[in-house]
Amino acid sequence: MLELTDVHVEYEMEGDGSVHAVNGVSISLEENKILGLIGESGSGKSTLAKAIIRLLAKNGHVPEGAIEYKETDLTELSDREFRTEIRWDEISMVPQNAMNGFDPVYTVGNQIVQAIRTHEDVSKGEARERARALFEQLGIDPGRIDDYPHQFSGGMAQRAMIALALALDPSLIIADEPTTALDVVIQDRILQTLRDLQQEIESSVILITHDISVVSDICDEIAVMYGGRVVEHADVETIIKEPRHPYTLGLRNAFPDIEEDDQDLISIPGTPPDLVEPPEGCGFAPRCPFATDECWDVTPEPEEYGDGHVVECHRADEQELLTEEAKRKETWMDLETEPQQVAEEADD
Amino acid sequence: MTSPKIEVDDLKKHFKSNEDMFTRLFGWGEIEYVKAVDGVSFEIEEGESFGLAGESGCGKTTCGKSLLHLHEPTSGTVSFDGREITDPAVRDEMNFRTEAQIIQQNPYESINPRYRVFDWVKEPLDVHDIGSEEERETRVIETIESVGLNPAEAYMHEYPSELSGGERQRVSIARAIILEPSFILADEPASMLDVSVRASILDLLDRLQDELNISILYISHDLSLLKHMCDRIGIMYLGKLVEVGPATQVINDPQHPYTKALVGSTPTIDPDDEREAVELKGDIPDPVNLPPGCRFAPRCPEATDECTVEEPPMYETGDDQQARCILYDEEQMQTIRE
Repeated sequence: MLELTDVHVEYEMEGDGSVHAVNGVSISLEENKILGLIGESGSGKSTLAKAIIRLLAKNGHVPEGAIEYKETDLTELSDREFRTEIRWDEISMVPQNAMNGFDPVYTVGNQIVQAIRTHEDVSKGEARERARALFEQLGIDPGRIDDYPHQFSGGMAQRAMIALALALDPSLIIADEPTTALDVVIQDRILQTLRDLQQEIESSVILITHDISVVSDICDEIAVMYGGRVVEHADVETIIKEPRHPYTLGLRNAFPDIEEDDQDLISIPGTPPDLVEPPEGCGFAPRCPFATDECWDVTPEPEEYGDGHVVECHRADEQELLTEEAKRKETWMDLETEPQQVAEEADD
Repeated sequence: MTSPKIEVDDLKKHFKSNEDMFTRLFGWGEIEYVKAVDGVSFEIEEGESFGLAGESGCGKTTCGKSLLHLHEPTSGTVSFDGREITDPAVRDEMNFRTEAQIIQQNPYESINPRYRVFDWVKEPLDVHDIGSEEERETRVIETIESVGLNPAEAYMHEYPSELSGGERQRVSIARAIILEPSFILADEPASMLDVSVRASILDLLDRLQDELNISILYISHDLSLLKHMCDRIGIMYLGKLVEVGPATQVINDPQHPYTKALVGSTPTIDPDDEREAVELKGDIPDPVNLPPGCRFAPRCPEATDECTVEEPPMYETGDDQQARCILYDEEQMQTIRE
């Protein structure tokens, strides 16, 4: 349904060249699936989402690549066509901070009604009825439709935002960290609602988050982003249980799991790559305990390892070794002192 | 027998919620109070890490700040090394302000942007007038290096704006430990940081705690994190502790229905894992007009009529674990069953 081919996104900066926030992403999403997009801040996950729904900041643009949605290349549409035919009709978005997503001077109901009536020729009463039904579906008292956004609690505002995103039965919903600011009890409720509604109206969802446990909870597929590229993409089971990319292995180590009793958290040393002038080679090499000379020189191409499991890593075929080694704290600790040396040892 | 590092007894902190001009001038209307912390008691042993968990608004941060007397508590006592510290004179005498330190949540706001790293870490030494200028300098450099900012020369002349979030939080930690405190309050020390950095900050705190034998009070809403970091944890709901016990035990085998709900709502990494979801009704009630009886009763899936009669005390439910729920009152349950 959605197919991205070699998508690049750049932000122009005054006099300083440009930031290559997304650096050649090719990924496809089928109908009725939830795709989780995870990665650190600055990995390009939000930028990619905004590029799809064309809500990039003024200095951002897509210089290369195709975003195909139901066989139309979205990059070729004019702004007007995009606004009237795609945005909200077909693709909608739930922003991270719902409180900022609503206009504070209009009632929530009014804003949903406006969204519906902008795209469809229905009466005010009809649109209002639909808004009430949506509230009901999301577990908000329909009587609160005439409240202003500030009268809602954080969790309610987030649910109302989802109602707004669902108002026109879109086929694709992009949810950018929809629960990050919320407490677990409400987070859980919202994620369940999102999952239930997604199945009910048979749409697809791209869920952006940095929380591995959230994606593994409700997603069908996971794409791991690093330095503006999707470095690993597969179904949830594979990413969680049999990851091949060292970055995915590292993320897993760094994340405290409530199920485990004596977990040894291991952080990934170093900092995310420079996106202004991305160097040659694998973007993760400077932080990777398994990097070889090849990794520093040649940018790895995506390769498929069985059933849709795509990895961008020169050493992805050594899964067993990587998995074993990545579990040891020393593997990552050594890196802090001598990255090159470890690479050589690993070579022997 | 040695006394615990920190002993909090029936600590309360109420804030006035509707004090407008008329009330203040003429005494019109009744003043309402937000009972942010409403009778919390716990102990932290020397070298122990204790975690306070709960949803936002449950009073965990207020509790931490009242404990340090950054807010003057409304009532209740806090003892430090066995001595009550309500009296400022006692606090001075005990060097409480050097012995107890705090690490704030947001390293982007907690560091004065106009201080260089060196000056920021050194300031506590200046304030408390410790050592000569040279001694201070050596100590600052040592401390900066001990929090993993190596070499210190590369960082000490930087402004915070030049540092990443993880580095900033390390600077905050350096400032907190430079006076060699015996107690640290860490309020969501890693929640603003990226996953890969978070682990290294937690690791650092863990290591420093071992090396310097510090007692740490962690405040966080993240149960996975607390389970990982703490020896014991307490779960707060609307200003009161509802469950206290060893961290692993409380998370793996929660007793209070609220703890069960929190644990059940926390997503797990294993995709096959079917969690026991506990459905909670409604939102957190208004902390001004608290419901009678158990404050959790209106949302509790196991609530009975008895629950709204009286606030339940803490009941022993197992090895060093207590829960504030009448499910564990044998007599009560006996009568209900009959």
